[in-house]
Amino acid sequence: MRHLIQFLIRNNHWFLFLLLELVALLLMVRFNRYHEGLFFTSANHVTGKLYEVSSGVTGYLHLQEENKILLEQNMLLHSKLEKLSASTIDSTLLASVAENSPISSKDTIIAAKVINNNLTQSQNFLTINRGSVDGVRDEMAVMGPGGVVGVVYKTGKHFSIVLPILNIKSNISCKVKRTDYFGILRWDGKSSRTAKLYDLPLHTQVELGDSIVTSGYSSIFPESCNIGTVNQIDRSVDGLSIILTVKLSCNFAILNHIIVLGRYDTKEIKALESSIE
Amino acid sequence: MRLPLFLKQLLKMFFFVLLQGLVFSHIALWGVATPYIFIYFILTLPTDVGRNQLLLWGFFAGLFLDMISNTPGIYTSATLLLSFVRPRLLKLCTTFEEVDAYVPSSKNMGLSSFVEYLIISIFLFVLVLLGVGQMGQFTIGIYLRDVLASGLLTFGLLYIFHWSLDI
Repeated sequence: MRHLIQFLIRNNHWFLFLLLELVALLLMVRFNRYHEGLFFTSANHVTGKLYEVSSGVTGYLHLQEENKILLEQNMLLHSKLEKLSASTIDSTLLASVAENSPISSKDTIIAAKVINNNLTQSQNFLTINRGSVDGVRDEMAVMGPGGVVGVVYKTGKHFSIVLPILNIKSNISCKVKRTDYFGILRWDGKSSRTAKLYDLPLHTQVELGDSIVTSGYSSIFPESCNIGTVNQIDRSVDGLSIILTVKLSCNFAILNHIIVLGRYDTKEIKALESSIE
Repeated sequence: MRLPLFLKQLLKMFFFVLLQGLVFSHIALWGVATPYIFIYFILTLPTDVGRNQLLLWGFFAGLFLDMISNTPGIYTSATLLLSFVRPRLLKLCTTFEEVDAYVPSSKNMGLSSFVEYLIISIFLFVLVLLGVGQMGQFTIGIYLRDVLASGLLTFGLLYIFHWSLDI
């Protein structure tokens, strides 16, 4: 008996250990009963304050991550806003394009945005943010708010390149709206506000200020899409034709939203034309 | 027990527990490895601290950490067990008698003994802590993975701690 008591006294830390483990166990089990365990959690005042201070400090540690999330959200909102504003501009753009060119209800109309624009070279190209997945095809007509912009030159999956009037390669068949005399519109590579209408016969009846519109002789543009107005009338060097300087109604320098127009009858016209050749 | 020494150890306890609860507990490398550096406080208490006193240090350090991290009883039980077996571990890893007074360190114990002591203590602690902590949703694979990852990370950090700070 004495030995037992001595043993127990010598190893009293065993009891303390077991007692404290029991307390820990009780804490663990009782935690689920909400109010009883409240003191031993961060809900009490001291640890609550502690966390307040700590989050004030550690808040900075997550700034980078939060920044990233904010940036992503920002971009998401931006793209939404863009889509929204694109759709509102579309309607006004559509109205102004419709005013300047007769669009058939069967034609394909694709709204697009100019994302790259160059005016300074002799061969300028525009890049637009619509491609084959959006229905854009090569040789579709491109119209801006003022009138004709150019022709789709190359179609990528999501983007396309447009050959605008302001490219010396561009050839568009046009006519004087009032008298129907027609010629070929080309750019001389000089001013971004004007282009030249060549090959008009000497007896052409034309006056300064006359409207120039598309002739409708190609399968690309429908008839009478607005191009611009006559600015100057000259004779060609060989004296056999008249050259008109046309003030373009489309301001390429501020070109932003445009419409790609796919004519429903292009295929038929092309097939017919190639059957002759 | 001299008062200044007691106060020093109390401050040390608060320091390690706060460091653990506010910083290191929020680390989870690859989602599995969390360093439990606060046990350094228990591991480096001088050996002339009595067994019962050691148990109390372990109990209150664990309790305080539990309060901070909302895990009632979990840290407490594991830390308490660690302070319970600490005298036996020291005896196992060193040639010192239990009555010798020293602070466990590589300087006092020799590097290999100290590392041995560190590794056994850390893994014992992590085994118990994660075992108790994961009780509700215990999966042996996840358990062993977490134990291994957290144990190694804790050891690595404490080893660097020990050499650079010598707290």
